[in-house]
Amino acid sequence: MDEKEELAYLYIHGMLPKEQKLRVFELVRTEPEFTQLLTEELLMVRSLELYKLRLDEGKKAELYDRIQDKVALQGSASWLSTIVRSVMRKTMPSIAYLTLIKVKGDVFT
Amino acid sequence: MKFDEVYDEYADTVYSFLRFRLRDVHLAEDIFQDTFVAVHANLERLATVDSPKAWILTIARRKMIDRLRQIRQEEVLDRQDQMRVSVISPEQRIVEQLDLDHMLDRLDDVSKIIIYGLYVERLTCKELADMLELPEGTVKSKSYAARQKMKRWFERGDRQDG
Repeated sequence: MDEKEELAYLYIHGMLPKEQKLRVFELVRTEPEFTQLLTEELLMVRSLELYKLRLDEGKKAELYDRIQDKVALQGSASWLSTIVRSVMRKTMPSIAYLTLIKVKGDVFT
Repeated sequence: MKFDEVYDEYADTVYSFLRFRLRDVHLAEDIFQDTFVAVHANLERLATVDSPKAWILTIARRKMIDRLRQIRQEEVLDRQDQMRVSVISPEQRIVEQLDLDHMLDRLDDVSKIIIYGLYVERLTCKELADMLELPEGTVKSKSYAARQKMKRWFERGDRQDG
């Protein structure tokens, strides 16, 4: 982005500090090309706004519930694997357990 | 920040991003869930990142890449094509969006995300660089080139390559 492009971008997006706005006003007054840059930026913003979607509340809540189910499932899987690992550690011959860990990385894999 | 607050704040952002990249509602929803499960698991990291929005979108992008690797590319493209003609919205909006889709399709993937990040999510080049795991200078130059192309296409109102 060159300086003027960046100024136009930041101005249209309302991200420009107050002191730099004066520079924008000056450019608008003195350089017609800059006004064209502002117009183009505005067109880009307005066109691409089409892609900003909002989840409706029902869908948002449904997805939230599914996420919570997955989180709970992962939690219980992790809890179960801890227990199974512990049982296997105690019941398997230690050489077999250590070999499994060494070769497979885990007793589950 | 609690998980519920993060979800409330960023659900639309993640959903918009995934729909922008995929268009396939079901696939986008699956990846949306994977993203927030990962956010839930790494919630304590949120306090340490510069931009929560960029961090969450990074997770969404990685989840999307992982998932797409699992799916045959042709299958996804087929479904995207089907989605393009079945978007439910007012007629004019569909026409405008299809034209815009067509323009964006002519950009490479990274440039598309940069344009989306700049204009839809209003991310900075630094945030986009973090998200795309690229140097900030690369993001700036790609952004410049992509914006020039888009503006040229808008100006000409064309749908042909060039």
